[in-house]
Amino acid sequence: MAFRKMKVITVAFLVVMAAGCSPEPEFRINAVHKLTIEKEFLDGKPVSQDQISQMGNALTALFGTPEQPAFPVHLTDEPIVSLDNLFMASGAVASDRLGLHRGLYREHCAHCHGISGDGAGPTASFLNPYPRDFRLGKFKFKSTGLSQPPTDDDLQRILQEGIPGTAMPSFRLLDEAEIDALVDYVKFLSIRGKVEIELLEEIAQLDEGDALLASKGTVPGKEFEDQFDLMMEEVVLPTLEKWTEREKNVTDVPEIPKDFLFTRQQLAPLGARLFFGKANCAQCHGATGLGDGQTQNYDEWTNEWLKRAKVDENNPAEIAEFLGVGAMKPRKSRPRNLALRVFRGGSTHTDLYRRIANGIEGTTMPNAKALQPDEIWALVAYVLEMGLIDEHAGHEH
Amino acid sequence: MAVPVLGTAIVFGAAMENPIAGYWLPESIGPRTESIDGLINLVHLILGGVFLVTGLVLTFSLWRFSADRPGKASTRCGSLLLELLWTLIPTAVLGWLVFYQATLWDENKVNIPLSAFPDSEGDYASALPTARVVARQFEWTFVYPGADGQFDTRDDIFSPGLLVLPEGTDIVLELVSEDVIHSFAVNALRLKQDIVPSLNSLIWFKVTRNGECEINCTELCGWGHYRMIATMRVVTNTDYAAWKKLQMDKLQR
Repeated sequence: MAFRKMKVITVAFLVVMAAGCSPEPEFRINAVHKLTIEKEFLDGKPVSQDQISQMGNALTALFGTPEQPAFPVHLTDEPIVSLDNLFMASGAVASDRLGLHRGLYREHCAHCHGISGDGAGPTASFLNPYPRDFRLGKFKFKSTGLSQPPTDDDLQRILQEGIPGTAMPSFRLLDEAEIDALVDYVKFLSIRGKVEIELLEEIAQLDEGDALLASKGTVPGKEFEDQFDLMMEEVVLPTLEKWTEREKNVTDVPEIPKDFLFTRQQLAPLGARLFFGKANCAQCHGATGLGDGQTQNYDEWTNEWLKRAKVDENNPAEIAEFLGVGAMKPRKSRPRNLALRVFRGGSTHTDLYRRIANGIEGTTMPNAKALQPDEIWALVAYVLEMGLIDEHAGHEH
Repeated sequence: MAVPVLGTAIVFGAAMENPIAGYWLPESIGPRTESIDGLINLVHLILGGVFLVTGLVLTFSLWRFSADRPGKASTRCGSLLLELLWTLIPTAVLGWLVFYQATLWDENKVNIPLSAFPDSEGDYASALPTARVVARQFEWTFVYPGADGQFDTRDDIFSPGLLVLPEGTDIVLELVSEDVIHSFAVNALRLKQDIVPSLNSLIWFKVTRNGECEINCTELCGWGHYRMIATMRVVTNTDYAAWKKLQMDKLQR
């Protein structure tokens, strides 16, 4: 009898232990980028552990932890994120007695985009395309130009409408305040990740014994404050500045031709000529627009380590080294199959105009510097009409 | 004896803390739902009775034949009478339910409103639904025909996560799944229909009150099943026309 009681108690104890023992999540170091700079600059020698922990301390001082995020709000005149929003989006999923709900990021985003925003959450490897890695600061579908961060409206729209044709669903089940909180948290993760990458680049330029940030008073002649100021000036401020400037960099869309929905058919033939000629869309999207042209490119998130570290894409051992530290298995990026008429960044005329005029960040889709607005509208017309061939045969408008 | 007493105390304690009110069926927003509610209540009543009786018998047996009470339970193997009883009674109850709810089934799943067929009379394949419901992991998108009244043309209206409908008119929806089996459920209408990939089905209903309610997925469709929620907004006919006009204007952007 006593033995049976013991067994029951032991099992109950183990169950309680197993349930309560998951480790506190933390921001993981960008190990892929670390390995990349080690290969690119240090002949594969590992970066010193001291430098890494100094970087970790600096990041924690600036951005806090997944439980208690922080942000250097005092550094910019215009606020980039609100600390209240970061609090609401961060932490474990919980509601207090007053009904204040937090942990939104972990509830809705983290299983794909990862706690650190590395796009490598538990479900990520099952998805095609992979979830976005925010840390490079590159976003595809936005109203701003290449290498500019997206506006809040752009991010809100993605959360509200999702990205058709990918695993990113619409989050309209959340109310506006919750969406705003998540938008701020995405910006936070992106800025934090970018600062981390820039600090790793700094580390790559240091000598082995040098400190990224000396502790107070330990290195004669090198004051902690001086180094900290330098880090702020060279790494943190430029990253933040991009996010405060972005509203100015929204590209103008010239006035859309009148009643374009029904008149665009007439512009489509001109668009077709450009598609095969001057704009050369057919090179990647294929002659029939099925996305079967040039398909040998990787996107920039992959090239960031694959090309920079000169990894031989045909050598599984070299790739495995990167997969081991958390990189996603490289996949060739596919030009869009235009005949499907599913446009990830939205399918209004204005959306397509921006995609063509600005290009798509992080991919081989270039911006259309050589094209006039009229020509871009003609391309929009052709792209939208090519999927409607059957309709033309049926009933005309 | 302490365990059942404690268990009951916990259940009632929890119910005090978090009242059961609000966990029953939500307020109805459609016509004819009284009969569906009646059927739901009836089934609950029958099964609740069965649950109560078996529970009481079990509790009594546990107490009566426990080791520290005098007397021993007898075991018997096979009883034709019992087998017949617990086969025939449920069969009779279920058989009766089938005929009892046949009219209801007819109204809700067979008699499609003729307004859904502007061109032909009742040819299922030629129905023109009010909107098309496209389910995918893990979101609902609603597609409306534009000014031309046709789907899959250049002026289709896409509305992710928000289904806007006019009140008081017959509404027919076409259900489409892009990936796995989903189920379209509006609890406030007592409405539920599985969506099987490549098997597009139609559902129809009428909403008699305007307001907003939830659309849920009620077929486990993957990890994000719990968050596959959309909003159904029911508005007056004028507001509906205005909303559609606004969406069509947006297409010109």
